[in-house]
Amino acid sequence: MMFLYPSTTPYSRDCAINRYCAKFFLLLRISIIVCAAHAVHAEDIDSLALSPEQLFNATVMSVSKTAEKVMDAPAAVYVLTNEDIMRSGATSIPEALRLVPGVQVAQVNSNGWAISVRGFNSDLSNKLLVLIDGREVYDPLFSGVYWDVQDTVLEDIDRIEVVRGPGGTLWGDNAVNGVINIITKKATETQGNLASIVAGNHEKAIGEERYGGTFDDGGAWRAYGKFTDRGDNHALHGGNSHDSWQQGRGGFRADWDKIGTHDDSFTLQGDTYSSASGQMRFEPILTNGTNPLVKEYIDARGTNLLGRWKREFSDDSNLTVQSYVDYVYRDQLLIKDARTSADFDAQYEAPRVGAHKFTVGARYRYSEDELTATPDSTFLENRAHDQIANTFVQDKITLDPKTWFLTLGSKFEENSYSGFEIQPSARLQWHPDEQQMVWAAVSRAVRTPSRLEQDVRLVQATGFIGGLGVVTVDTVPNPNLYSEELVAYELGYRRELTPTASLDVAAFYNDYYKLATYTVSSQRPFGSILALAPTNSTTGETHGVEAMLDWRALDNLRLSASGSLLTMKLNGPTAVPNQTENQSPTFQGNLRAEWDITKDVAFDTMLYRVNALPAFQVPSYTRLDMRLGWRFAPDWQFDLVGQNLFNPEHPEFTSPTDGHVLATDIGTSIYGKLTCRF
Amino acid sequence: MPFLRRVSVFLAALLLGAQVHAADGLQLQEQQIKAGLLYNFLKYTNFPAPNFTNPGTITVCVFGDDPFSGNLQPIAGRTVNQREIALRTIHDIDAIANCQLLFVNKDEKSRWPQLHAALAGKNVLTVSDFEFFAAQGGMIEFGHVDNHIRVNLNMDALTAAGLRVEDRLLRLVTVVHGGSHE
Repeated sequence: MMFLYPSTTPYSRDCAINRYCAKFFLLLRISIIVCAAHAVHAEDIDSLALSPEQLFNATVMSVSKTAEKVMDAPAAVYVLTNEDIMRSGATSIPEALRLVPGVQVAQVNSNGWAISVRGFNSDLSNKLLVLIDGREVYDPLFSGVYWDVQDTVLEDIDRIEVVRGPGGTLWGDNAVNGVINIITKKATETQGNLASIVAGNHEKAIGEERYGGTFDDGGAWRAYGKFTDRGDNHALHGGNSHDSWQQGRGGFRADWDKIGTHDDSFTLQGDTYSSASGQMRFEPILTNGTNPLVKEYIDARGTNLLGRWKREFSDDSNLTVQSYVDYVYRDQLLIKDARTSADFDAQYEAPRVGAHKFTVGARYRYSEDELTATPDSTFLENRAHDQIANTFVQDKITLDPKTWFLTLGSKFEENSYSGFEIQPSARLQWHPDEQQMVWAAVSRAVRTPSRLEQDVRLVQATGFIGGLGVVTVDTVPNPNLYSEELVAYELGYRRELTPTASLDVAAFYNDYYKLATYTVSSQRPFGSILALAPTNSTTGETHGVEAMLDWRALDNLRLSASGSLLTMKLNGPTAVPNQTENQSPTFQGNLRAEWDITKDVAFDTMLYRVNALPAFQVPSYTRLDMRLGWRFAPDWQFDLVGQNLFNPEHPEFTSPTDGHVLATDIGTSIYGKLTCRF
Repeated sequence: MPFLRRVSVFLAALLLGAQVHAADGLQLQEQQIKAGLLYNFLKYTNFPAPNFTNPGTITVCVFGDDPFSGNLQPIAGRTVNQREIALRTIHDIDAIANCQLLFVNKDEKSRWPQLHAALAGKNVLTVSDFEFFAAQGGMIEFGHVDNHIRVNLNMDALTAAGLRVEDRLLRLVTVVHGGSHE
C-alpha cells in the first residue's frame, strides 16, 4: 500500500529542492510568535468563518495548549519558551534560567551554579525540585542539583516551566520553594539536521549535531551529540581558578503518536554523558594537619533511559505511565558516589463528573548508591538503598462555571528518609472576567533529609595542636534528622492589560519549621575538636513579592520587566541561619527587549540587577547581555553574543573568605555561534 | 526628505509584513481546523440536485461519537448554497440514507468497509481522519504534516459518487486515486 502523506520525508529534503522552504519555516516561526503576541485565544476564533487557505495555514495547537493550561494555573508559574532560550544567548540550562522572574541564578565558578527560588540559595539548593522530561535530577546524596551535568541541545528544549512556591502535592518531596520542569520537544518537531558550533573567549568550543528522522511505522526519532569545552575563570584574588570543564554527551528520543486502536502515544528517550571539570579546594590533610589549596578534579558521568506511555480516553481524560532508570556517578575529592535509581509513575486524569475533576497518581522509586571512602569522608554505611512510595489525589471543583474554582489535593507518602509525609494544598481561583485572574493558595511541602545529613562524616578542616597532634573539624551525620517543613500562603493576580500587554504578580508568606541547621554535636569522631551535626533546630519565615510585565510594544518588539523582593527571617541556635538569610538577594530584577530588526535580523538585550549577598561579601551588580542574530541564508544563522558586558569581573556567589573552595570572578564572555539547519 | 520616506516605507513594509504573517499563522485546536475545513468542503462541493429528498436542507452526519469537541455544532442552522445545514449523529449504517456529508469517526474505522459498501451509488461526500481512509475508498482524508492539517482527496471516489469539488479547494489538497467502487 502506498503511503499517502509526505510526512515520511523530512522537510530537509524538501528544502534541498526548494530553497525558499527554509525561509518559509522561518516566516512560519515568526508568524507564530507574532500570533502569540496578540494573545488571541483559539477558543475565541470562529473557525467556520476562516478561508480554506487560512485553515491550511493554521498551526495545530498541541504543546502551546499545555502551556496555556499552565498559565491558567492557580500558582506562580512562568513558562520560558524555546524562543526565549534561543534569544537569551544562553549556552546552558542554568544560564537560561536567569531570564525567569523570581529565580535566583548565581554562577559559582566556571562549572557551578547556585540556583534557588524564594530564598535559601546555595550551590546545592535543597528546596528546589528539578525534572527533565519527567526525570528527577535532584540528587538525594547532597539534596540538590548538579547543574553542570544537566544539559541537552538547547534548540530541542520545548519549554522550561518554573513554578515558584510549593509543588509537593503534585511533585512530591523537595518541591518546597519551587519546581523547574525542563521539557524537550517531541521527535516530530525536531526533524532534519541541526548543527552548530560556538567559539568564544570563555566558551572555548561547543559543538552539537542533531538529526531527526521518521520510522516506517509513523514514529519519529532524533539523536544528538554535543561537546562543550569551557575555560577557566579568574580567582577572586587574581590568578587562574582551574575550573575549566569539558563535557561530552549524546542521546536520543523517539515518539510514536496514535498507535493502536486507542491512539496511544509512546516516548522512549535516553542520554549519556561524561564530564571532567575542576576547582581549587582547600583540602584538609590528615597526616600533617594542614589545609593546602589543591586542584580538585570532578569526574561526573551518567546514563538514563525513560519510557512514557499515554492513552487519551477523551479530551479531558488520560492515563500516563512513565518509568525510567537513571545512573549517576560523581567522583571528587570530597566524596565519590555511584547511584542507580528506578522510578515508576502513573497518573490518571479522570473526566469531569458534575463539578468535580479528579486527577490521581501513584509513584514508586527505588534508589541505591555506593559511596567510596575519600580522605575527606567516612560514612555509616557505604551502600544504602532508599525507597519512596506515594500517591496523590487532586480535585478541581467548579464552584461557579468560568469564574470560581477550588483545587484541593494532597500527596501521601512513605519514604526511607523520614517515614510518612502528607503534603496537601488548597488553591482557589477567581476569574472576574476573561482578562483577569486572582488566586490564593495554602500548601504544605517537605524537604526530606539527605543521605549526607543522615549518613556521612566530612572532614571540614584540620590543624596541628601540640600535645594533641593532628585534629579535625567535622560535620557528622544525624540519623534522626527529620524533614524540613513548610506551610506556604500565596496570593496572585494575572491580568491582560491590553491585547498586547500582561501583568503577573505573586506574593507569598512562607512559614518554615524544623529547618536543618549544623549545631555542635557531642558525637565527636576520634581526633575531632569540633563536630557539627544537622539538627531540626531552626524555624523561620520568608515573605516577598514577584511581579512581571510583558508588552508586545510592536509586532517586532517585545519588552518585559520583572522584579522580586525577598525578606528572610530565620531563628536558630547558631550563626548559620544568619548566614543562610544573607545568601539570597533582597531584590533582583531584569529588563528585556527582543527586537526583530528585519525578518532575518534580531537584536536582544537583557539587563539584570541583583542586590548584594552579605554572607559572601558579594556586592550588588548589574549585568548586561546582548545578542545579535542574523539569518544570512535560508539554512544558516550567525549569532554574536556578549554576556556580562561593560562590567568588571565580579563574583556572583563566592566568598573571598570561603575555607573550602577558591572564590572566582565571573567575567565577560563573548562568543560567536554558527547554526545550520538542513 | 527621501531618507524619512525610505524609513517610513521600510517601517510600513515591516508592520504590514508582520500583520500578514499574523493572519496566516493562526494557532488553532485541531478540531477547530477540521470543523472549519469540513464546512468549507460542504460549501465548495457541487452535489447533484436529485439527491436531496428535502431540497431546503443539507444534512451533515457524524458516524459514531462526535469528535469535534463542540466545534462542529455551530454549523447547524447555517446555510450553504441556499440550503440550511442540519447536523446529526448516527450510529447505524441504515441511518446514512439522508446524509449528504458523512464524517466517519476514526473509532469506527473497522466498520468503514461495510459503510463503504452501503454508500455505493449514493451521492454522499465522505470525510474522515483515520489513516489510509482515502486509499480505502474514502473521499476526503484529514491528516497531519508537521503542525498543519493536510487533506488527501480521492478523485476517483468523488467522481464515482457524482460529486465535484471546486478548484478553489482542489488547489489546496493532495489528489490521490484508487480504492473506489469498481
